[in-house]
Amino acid sequence: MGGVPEIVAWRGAGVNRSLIVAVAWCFAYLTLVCAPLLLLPTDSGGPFAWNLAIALGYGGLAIMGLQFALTARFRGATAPFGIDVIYFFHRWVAVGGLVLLIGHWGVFRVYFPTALGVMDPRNAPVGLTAGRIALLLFATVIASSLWRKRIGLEYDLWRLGHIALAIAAVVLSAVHVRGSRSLTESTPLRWLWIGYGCAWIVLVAYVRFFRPWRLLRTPYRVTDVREERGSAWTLTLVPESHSGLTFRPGQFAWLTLRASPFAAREHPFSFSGSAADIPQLSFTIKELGDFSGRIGTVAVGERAFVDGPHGVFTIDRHPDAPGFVFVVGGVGVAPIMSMLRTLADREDPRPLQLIYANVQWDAVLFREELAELADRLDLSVTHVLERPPADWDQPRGRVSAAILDDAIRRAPSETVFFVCGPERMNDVVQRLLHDQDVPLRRVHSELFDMV
Amino acid sequence: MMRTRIAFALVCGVVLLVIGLAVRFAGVGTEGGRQPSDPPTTAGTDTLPRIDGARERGQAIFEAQGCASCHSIGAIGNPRYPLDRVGAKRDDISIREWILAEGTARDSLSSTVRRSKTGYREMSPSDLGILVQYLTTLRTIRIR
Repeated sequence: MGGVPEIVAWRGAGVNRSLIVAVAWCFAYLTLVCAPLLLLPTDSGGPFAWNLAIALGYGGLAIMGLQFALTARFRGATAPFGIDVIYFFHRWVAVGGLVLLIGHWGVFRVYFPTALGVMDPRNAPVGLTAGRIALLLFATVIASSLWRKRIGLEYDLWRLGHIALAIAAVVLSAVHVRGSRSLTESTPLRWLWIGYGCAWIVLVAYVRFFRPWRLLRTPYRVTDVREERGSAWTLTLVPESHSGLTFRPGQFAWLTLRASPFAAREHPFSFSGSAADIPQLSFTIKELGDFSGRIGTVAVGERAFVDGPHGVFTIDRHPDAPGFVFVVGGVGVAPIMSMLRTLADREDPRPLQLIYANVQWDAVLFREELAELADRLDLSVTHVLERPPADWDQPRGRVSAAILDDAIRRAPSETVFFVCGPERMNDVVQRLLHDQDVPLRRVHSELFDMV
Repeated sequence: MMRTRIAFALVCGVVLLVIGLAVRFAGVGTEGGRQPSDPPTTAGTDTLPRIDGARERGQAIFEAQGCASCHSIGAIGNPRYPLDRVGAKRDDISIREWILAEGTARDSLSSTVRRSKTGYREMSPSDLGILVQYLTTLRTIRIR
């Protein structure tokens, strides 16, 4: 991928168009959530609380059903927002949906306890039992996502459970709606739910069967496994019998190793290589979790599957920026390396600054290559170490307001900032930049590790 | 970051919009102006005659069979199909036919409703009898 044509193409899909597309998708989402409520028959009669409970249930179920579309990774729909924010929205709107469903059950529990029938599933109507189990499953899915690490649930197991329980919860909800027959005698509403049900089945089939099948047909082969500083490894992959994918520097992909794409054992990692090096792909992965802790045991020749690219954390969204400042912590340097390597390959003349925080000098990933890149680019690198060696003459501790203030003073106005590190560092740096009057529109970060 | 703030605002907006539409629908569709602050009724137990414990058994069977998901008695249960005066309108044979979707009642019910009533055919004859007897005693509206 050569530089200029792609940048022009990306600019063609510029901010204004992205905004229009984003607003259109928001409108479509709201319409789909609200449609069951808008089609409720207004002549249904019945007490206020009864109708309120039914409407809350329909709203909550519409939100839960649409959760599958949010995480289906449709690039056209996610591009204007960034898929990390889509997942952020997915996470919190699920909590909102659960609140609505608990409200649905709670209003019945308080005002119409008899309508809930007996609890014993052997004697209770199937529809009501299905509703109870669905509510419990939704609560379990959300709780296990919010507190996965706290309860010590392994990622792959969580992911499989998340998928299975969420599908079961929606199916049981459909049984509940059909069994309770609440206002579904209304023809438009009945057809709407039938339509939603069919669309949901198609969506699940696409995500769980068609897309894995497509990935299976476009495998990659591991050609290099290189140990880096700081317990990190760089994997290099090349496509097998296909042309591979193109990506923007800073984007990421879901990587499957030692498993079939159907097994849903995939993990998101940023590309760390130059976007100009395609079809070869590189990922730099630190030994941190269940999956990444074994990354060093991957052997050359192993097969891999890559679902991507995703994300909007890329310099290519800002072709008119006069320069960039990168504020990075630890392995967060991976997507920034992709940006710097690509900028070097493109011979980009813009002024760049890298503020790179680590604990100790020995663990600084790519420090030698960064020194070389500083010669090829208009790049200044500031290392910040928490535990520096005795003769250290650069900043100590963590990224501070003074360090950022110095970077802001040296940067041209309208410089764009990219922040990539641990969640705590990202929050602090973004707050410090905000305090120094850098507008949020010029500060970009990516959400990792949401589960 | 800006995107997460917008996303969180959207989440709040979606939930509030759904609650707003639900309240609006509940207000428009409300019958008789009853509000959620009204105390729940107790199925008019004071007005029901005591028939050797059959009423309590009948109520218990009514609850256990999930009849309240479609019907209400004393404003408890699905208010779309109240059974408060069913005893004044139908005799025990007719009520049995409506429960089981048999006889003349069968033609008046949709196929969906007929399917939903198939479970009642698996009730024991005594439970069915008690339920029918209970329903025949419902002759007054018991909404307070």
